[in-house]
Amino acid sequence: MDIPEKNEILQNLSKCVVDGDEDGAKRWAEEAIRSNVDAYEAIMFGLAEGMKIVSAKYEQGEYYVPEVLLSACAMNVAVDILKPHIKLDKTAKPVKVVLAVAEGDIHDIGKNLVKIMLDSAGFQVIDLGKDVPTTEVVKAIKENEAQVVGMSALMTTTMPSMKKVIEQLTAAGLRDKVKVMIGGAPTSPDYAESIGADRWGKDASSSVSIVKELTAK
Amino acid sequence: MSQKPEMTPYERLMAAFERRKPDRVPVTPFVREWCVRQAGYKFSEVMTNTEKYVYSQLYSIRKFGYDMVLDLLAVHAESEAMGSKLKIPLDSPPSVDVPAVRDFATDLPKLRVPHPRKDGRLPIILEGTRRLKEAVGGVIPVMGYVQACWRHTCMMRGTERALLDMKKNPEQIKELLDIATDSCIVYGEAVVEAGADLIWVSDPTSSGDMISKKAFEEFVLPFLTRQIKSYKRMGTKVFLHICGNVNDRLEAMASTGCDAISVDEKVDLAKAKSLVGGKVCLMGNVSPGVTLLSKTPKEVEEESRVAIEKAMAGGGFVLAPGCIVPAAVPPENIAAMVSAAQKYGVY
Repeated sequence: MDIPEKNEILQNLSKCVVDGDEDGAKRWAEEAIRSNVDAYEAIMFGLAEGMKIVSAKYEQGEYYVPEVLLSACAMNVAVDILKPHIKLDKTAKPVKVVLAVAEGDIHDIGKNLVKIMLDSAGFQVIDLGKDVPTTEVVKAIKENEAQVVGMSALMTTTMPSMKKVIEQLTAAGLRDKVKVMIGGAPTSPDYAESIGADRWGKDASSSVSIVKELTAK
Repeated sequence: MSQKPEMTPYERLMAAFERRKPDRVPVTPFVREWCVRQAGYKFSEVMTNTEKYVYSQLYSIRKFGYDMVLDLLAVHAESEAMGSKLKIPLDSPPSVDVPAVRDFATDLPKLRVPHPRKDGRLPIILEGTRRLKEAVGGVIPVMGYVQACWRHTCMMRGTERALLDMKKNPEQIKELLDIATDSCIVYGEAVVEAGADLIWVSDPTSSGDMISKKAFEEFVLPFLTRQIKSYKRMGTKVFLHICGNVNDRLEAMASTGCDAISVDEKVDLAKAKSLVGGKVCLMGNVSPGVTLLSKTPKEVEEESRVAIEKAMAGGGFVLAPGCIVPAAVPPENIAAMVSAAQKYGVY
């Protein structure tokens, strides 16, 4: 009798994320705790599943940024409730991803979406925020021993600072220790290649599979 | 065959904006930080120094010979004059650090339409427009810049919050849009009075990469139309620039009454020409971030040639980059774009 109830909770969590329904997400997250649904499962198989649907809808042009943000709100409300209940696995070593918006650039919506996607996929995200000096990015990669760094620029004028980060990584002897992915509206696969990045991401929803590929042994 | 007399840049651009055939396709690289760097200044020092900015624009157009000077100092200036706090880096354009409207209930009633001759940096910018006009007026067109009302709204509210407001607080965000539109109109009037021959209305937050066509039509279009129509009634020319994928809203953009639509490389110029070329002049769409920044002059020339070929027929086309030219673009690439217009754009 336990199984269908759990599935119902997971499905509703997913649906609330897709619908951007914060109140519903809160209610079903509390229900998950009450019914002893594993918090990690509730996030991964409920909320994250919903976010996957949201990404697909965004990719297909059915959802736009306001819809995705609304879904992210619903997801965050539920994650806040569920997170304290996650049983930590001390043996697993999480993949660390440093995220930053290029120096001089304050357009961080895309980066925030990437953070939500990566968070929900179980990666450990170190979010440096927007308008991050190139030296700060390099420092954070070094200090956290991050396996991946994701950078975005939304202006043609700030794109070159991503190249600077890569040059500084090379100069610091760190370039072969970290994979670099970049994105943002004015960037392209050509541009990523030209500055020596490992991968270019079309949008936030592609980030999860890119990080998985980049860190696959 | 007798050779046609060469037009002045002013005549050339006006002909294109009126969808007539000039002597050749006009070319207008959107230079702001780029010309400042060419002139040897840092962006932060020109922001409050009209002299240096005007010098940068004049130095650049005399050296490279394109068809429009741009008064582009007004980066978020309207939003700043209404209370948003800017962060000003040493050598790149400023950004909004703390938006003016954090709480609708307390902040909306306090908002006032700024006085263009008194508030913020607005008087400095208007002085720049006036000086550019004095220097080149009548021969080279002078462009004045005003944010689109939705962009202005985002710069007063914070983009992410404004986008969420479309879902959560639609009435309040429309009220803010209404005030933003009023202030864009009042400021635009001052820009025209200062001597601008045309106004650039730009909005990076209205494309299909950001909001649905439905949201565009509900939230942006009515206010944007009011803004642009009011400029038209002042007798000025207007071009509307929205970066990103606007393929599904080109007709809506043309319906605002603007003279020209400026697009980036996510729009195919040939398709745009067939869709709205009968209503508006088109401007575009050499990639600033990829081609101008990191390719060779030969590749810049080729991309320019393709753009010209797609959209010059019958007049009503201006060769332009898809967005602002980054500071680091090599000068040879701007020269290549200008010479492509001279080489391939002759009618």
